[in-house]
Amino acid sequence: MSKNIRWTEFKPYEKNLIKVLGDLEVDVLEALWKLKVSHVRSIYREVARKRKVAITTVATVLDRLFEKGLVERELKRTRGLHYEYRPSITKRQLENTVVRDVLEGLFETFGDSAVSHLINRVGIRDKQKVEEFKSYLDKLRLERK
Amino acid sequence: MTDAILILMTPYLYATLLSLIMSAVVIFSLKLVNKQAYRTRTIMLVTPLVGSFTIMAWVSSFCFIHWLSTNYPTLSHTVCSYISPGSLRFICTSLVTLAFTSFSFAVSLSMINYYLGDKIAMHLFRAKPFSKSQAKETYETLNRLSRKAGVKSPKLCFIERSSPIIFTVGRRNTPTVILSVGLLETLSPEELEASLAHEISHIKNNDGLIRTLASCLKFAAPFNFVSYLIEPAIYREREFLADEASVTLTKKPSALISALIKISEAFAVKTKGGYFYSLAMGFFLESPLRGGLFNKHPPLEERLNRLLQLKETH
Repeated sequence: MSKNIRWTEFKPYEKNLIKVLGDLEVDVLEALWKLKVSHVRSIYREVARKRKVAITTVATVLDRLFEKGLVERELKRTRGLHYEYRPSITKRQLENTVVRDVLEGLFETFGDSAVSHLINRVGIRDKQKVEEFKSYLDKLRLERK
Repeated sequence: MTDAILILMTPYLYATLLSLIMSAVVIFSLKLVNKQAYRTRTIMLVTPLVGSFTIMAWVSSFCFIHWLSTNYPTLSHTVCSYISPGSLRFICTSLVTLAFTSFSFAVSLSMINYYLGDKIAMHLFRAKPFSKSQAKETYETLNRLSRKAGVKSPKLCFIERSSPIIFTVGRRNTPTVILSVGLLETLSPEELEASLAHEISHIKNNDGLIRTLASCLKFAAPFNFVSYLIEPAIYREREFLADEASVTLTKKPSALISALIKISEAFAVKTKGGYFYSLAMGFFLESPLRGGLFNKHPPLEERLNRLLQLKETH
């Protein structure tokens, strides 16, 4: 599932999900997580409580979220055309995907420094545990190949 | 005389063939890729390819004429004797070739654009036809407005986008209005009516033809800087005209004003790699952040100012 999710940037100094998405995108996504299944008007009402925004802006952001694979939409043909939006993953799943992809990317590119930083950060002092960790990472790397 | 026509016709046929091949390449390459993000990249990749094809067309037809003039001097002499005798023959031949190639290229490209443009645009945007039962109200509004304007009622198609997009393709007798699902969702009925009236005014003013002629002018004189300024200037003027005609049709300038503001709001968001958006905007609203001589739509402020003036008179 998470294979279809794409983001284009990672901003290390931003907070929360703004690290990987635009701030408006996060607001819209959070409104959608709250409402579960919804139409653009109710999403707009939810977002407008938090910040000043136009309904068309929300629609454009929904377009972008759809392209990123974070939102699903279904075309309804009753009473004119309209979309029914629903989030394609939960907040927890998105966070997991972000952590996994970022860490894997770091290990792949800056293997040794990433590993040593992680060992320092987690505070592994035991030599045996370091070896275990290393072999686990190697296993991960093999799986990726 | 017939020889001269033959020589001048060859680059024309050649350019027609090349532009046909180019269009096929563009359409085919877009058909290959399914994801929207990759499609935009493909357009960006294909555009320089098309440009290099154009240059290839010029160079090779120039070589062809040059080959003709060396191997069959009498043939090319017929052409050049009209313009200049003797030593200037080489320059004259190349200039004539260049002018004719660009002109013929412009004509053939414009003809493809005029007669197949609607199909290409519908294919690019994956527009699907609207059945009358699905959008009864929209069809009623459209029919009422087009009857009032005295034009043939256009076909309605929709594209699957959440952002508000509306534009018209096709000739005056076969027009199609394409709108996004997002437009139906976000605009109020009055705003929708105003923007439909704007599109119908484009059809009534025969802007499809005028746009084609303007772009033909640009391609026919590719080395003339002025032609690059004239084309967008014509577009901008037509846009003002369509705004005015829309107000005359609906008598509701404020609805068009709010529709314009709403649509511009949609595209004021910072987009990363939003080439598609700028492409889509080209039809109704250019980026409100950009302005100037090369913009094909007038800046939002100016449009709103003119509409506000109209509002006072109504």
